[in-house]
Amino acid sequence: MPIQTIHHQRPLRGFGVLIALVVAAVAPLVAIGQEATPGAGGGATPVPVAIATEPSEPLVAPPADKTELVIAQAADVSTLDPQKSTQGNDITVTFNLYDNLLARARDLTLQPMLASEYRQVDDLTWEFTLREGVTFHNGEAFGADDVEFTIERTYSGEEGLTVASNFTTVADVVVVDDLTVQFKTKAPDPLLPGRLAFYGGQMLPKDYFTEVGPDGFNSAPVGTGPVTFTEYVVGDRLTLTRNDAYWGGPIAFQTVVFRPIPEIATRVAALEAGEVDIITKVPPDQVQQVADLENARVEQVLYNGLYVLGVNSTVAPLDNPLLKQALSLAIDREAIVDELWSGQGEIPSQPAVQGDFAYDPSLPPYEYDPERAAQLLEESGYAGETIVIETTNGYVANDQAMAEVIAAGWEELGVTVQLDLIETAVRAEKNRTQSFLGMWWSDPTSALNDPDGMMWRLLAPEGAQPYFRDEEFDRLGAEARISLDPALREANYRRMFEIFNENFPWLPILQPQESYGVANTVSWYPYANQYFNLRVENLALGGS
Amino acid sequence: MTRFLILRLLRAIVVIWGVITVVFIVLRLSGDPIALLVPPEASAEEVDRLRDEKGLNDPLPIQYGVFIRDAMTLDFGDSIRYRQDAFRVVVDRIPATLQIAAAAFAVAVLIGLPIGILSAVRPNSILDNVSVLVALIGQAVPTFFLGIVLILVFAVRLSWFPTSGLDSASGLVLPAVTLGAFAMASITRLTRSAMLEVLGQDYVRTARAKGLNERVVINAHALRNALVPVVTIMGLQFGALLGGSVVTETVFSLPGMGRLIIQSIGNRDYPVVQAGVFLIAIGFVGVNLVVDVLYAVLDPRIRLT
Repeated sequence: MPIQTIHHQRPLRGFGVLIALVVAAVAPLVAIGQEATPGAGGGATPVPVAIATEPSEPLVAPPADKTELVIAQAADVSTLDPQKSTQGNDITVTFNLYDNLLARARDLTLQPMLASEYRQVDDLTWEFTLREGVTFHNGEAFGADDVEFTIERTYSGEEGLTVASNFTTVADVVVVDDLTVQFKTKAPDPLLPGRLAFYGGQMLPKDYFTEVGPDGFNSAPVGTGPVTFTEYVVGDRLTLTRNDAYWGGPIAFQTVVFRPIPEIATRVAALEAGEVDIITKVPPDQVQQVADLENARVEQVLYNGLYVLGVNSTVAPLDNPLLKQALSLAIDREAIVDELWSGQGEIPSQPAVQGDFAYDPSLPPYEYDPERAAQLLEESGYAGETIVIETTNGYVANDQAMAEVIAAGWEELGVTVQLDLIETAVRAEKNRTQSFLGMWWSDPTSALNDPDGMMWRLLAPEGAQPYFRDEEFDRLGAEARISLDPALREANYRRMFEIFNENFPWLPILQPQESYGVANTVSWYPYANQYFNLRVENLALGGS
Repeated sequence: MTRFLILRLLRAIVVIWGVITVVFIVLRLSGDPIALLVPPEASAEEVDRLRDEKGLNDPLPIQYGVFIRDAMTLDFGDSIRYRQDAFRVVVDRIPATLQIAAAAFAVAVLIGLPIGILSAVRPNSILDNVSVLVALIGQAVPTFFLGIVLILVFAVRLSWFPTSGLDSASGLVLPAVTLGAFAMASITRLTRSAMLEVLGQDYVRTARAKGLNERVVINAHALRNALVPVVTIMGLQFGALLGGSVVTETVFSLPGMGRLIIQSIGNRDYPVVQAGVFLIAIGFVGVNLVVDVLYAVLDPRIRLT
């Protein structure tokens, strides 16, 4: 054994070598890190907030040197091309880099934006007059040819456009003159103005886009919005700069930074430490904690849509309306809202939300009545068949927990329930192939503030969830879609709500509150339709 | 020595091949990426066209063959979410991951090793008991919890460090402590026990008997022999730090590979997952190779086998 030879090595060598290795490995890496972010050192300067003594005291003046607005979202931005994503974390940015022809105000009424006025010429023609003197961030003038280019691109068949179906009612976009553009629709489209006010309708610069192509555009996007693109460090930060020449007036902040902070506890900590000014997606069980912060407050808005259990009404026993009525009556929605959502939500009454066209305020919220449920279950002739709930975990907040509560209620009623957990990607696949076994979570959103944009878009025979068919329901929906007569449309939808509430193509569970944390040095408000607005009318320094 | 190296290299290649093969199979078993890529209203033809384009309509063996061929040239296809070269997307995240792993490793070694040695030299002293306790806590507390606690104390209450992000070097401190805690605890415990064992050996007694200074006995005679298992664990821990910083990267919102890969799994962005796992496997295997070589330097007996 050669062990003895080791004794004659120099002292400290083993340890010294190791330490040297570690130091050598670490030193350059740390140095690289510093180089990689030149000039960004002050990015996380804590803001010395003048402390509000009462948490309820809303706004305080920020320090004079506050020129940066930092927004923390749950995930990073996947693309800056507004036609390639409709995800929540992306439209927050693209609604501010770009403008639409029209936009909804916070009360959801349609307002002029890049179009100063619009009118209907005939049943199939809408005419928009564009705002004069608007320029893109690169100096290119905004005009009718940009509108034509933008809208035609959506249905051009270019790969990967997620808004490909948004403007399929449009037959042609006609440039009348520099500042006048006409939309010819295939059939009368009462919702065209609303479509133009949401995603897919952000206006792109034709000349610049054609010159640099989709990839070049995505890495250096140009719009007409209140902020201009500066830099995007994927996974770390997206930096935008104030557009001083914005037609709607310059915003109060010199720079706007979007940061991904996936962990909610960290988002809240960053808000409390004053490193960020707005945090998105505060879950119900964290709302109180944010409300208790001394330097920030909670801003809430009811989500412009519903969380529902989709129902595959083509399979027995879910093709039985009486059974579905019994199931609905056996869901304790109040307990779900109170316990799982800490009261942060409302119980729906119809497949539409307040503020939607044709919403019927006289309908009572869905009831919880186990006795009548038992009675209806017996009348339905239910014979013990298994009902499958394919729940996700995290597709919408609390989905699995809600499914468990609902399943327990149904088991108590005497219904056999099988609760399967599926992944979000599997859910997406089943949604595409329309192969859900029984029930699944869905979050129909009313982007157009109209039943056509929420209920009929999904439940129509050509929609993504066409599992329920009823002759009258189908006729009314098809008629209202292409009618320009508000009275007829309202009557049709009200009747469809009645049919819906007897047949439950979905089992609506709740309309959740969306909560944001906002620093008291900033005045900003969320919109119900997820329009994330950083323009002067919605964003200001606190105390001013 | 050359033969030793060649054998280790061949073994490394087999391991990497195995890893990416498993990833290839598992990803394809667990859901359709196209479903997440297209809007729900997309037509069946549109979906089919995309599947064709991405090669998803080919039989699995052909997909596998193409995958292996492309992997050799580091071509993993375009990221589905970011719509650019997947390898590039992952490589962009390497600096952050390396910084965090290296800083955590430094915390683990620079604290763990000396404490382990001191504990062994003075067993059952107060220092020993405290360090054993700290090591136990370090191994028992979940990374997630430790990270949040550190943020609340040192970033929110004391404002010494930022809560998240890598804007400045100070942003590395809390993640490094969080991520390094477990490795530090392992290294402390292992160093302590290895040193205790070696200090009881005959040759240490001999060294003391011939009147050597205790420092020399510890540093030259005991430590060097105790280091072989410690280097092993350090190598393994560094590998684990490279791939295992997912939770830390998420809690501290650091733009590293771990968070990217987890997010990409959720999005079924399989080109990114494949490229990421490939790189982590290479990192892991590479570190192990270095450890093997270090053994040979530390213990000449290993060179002979």
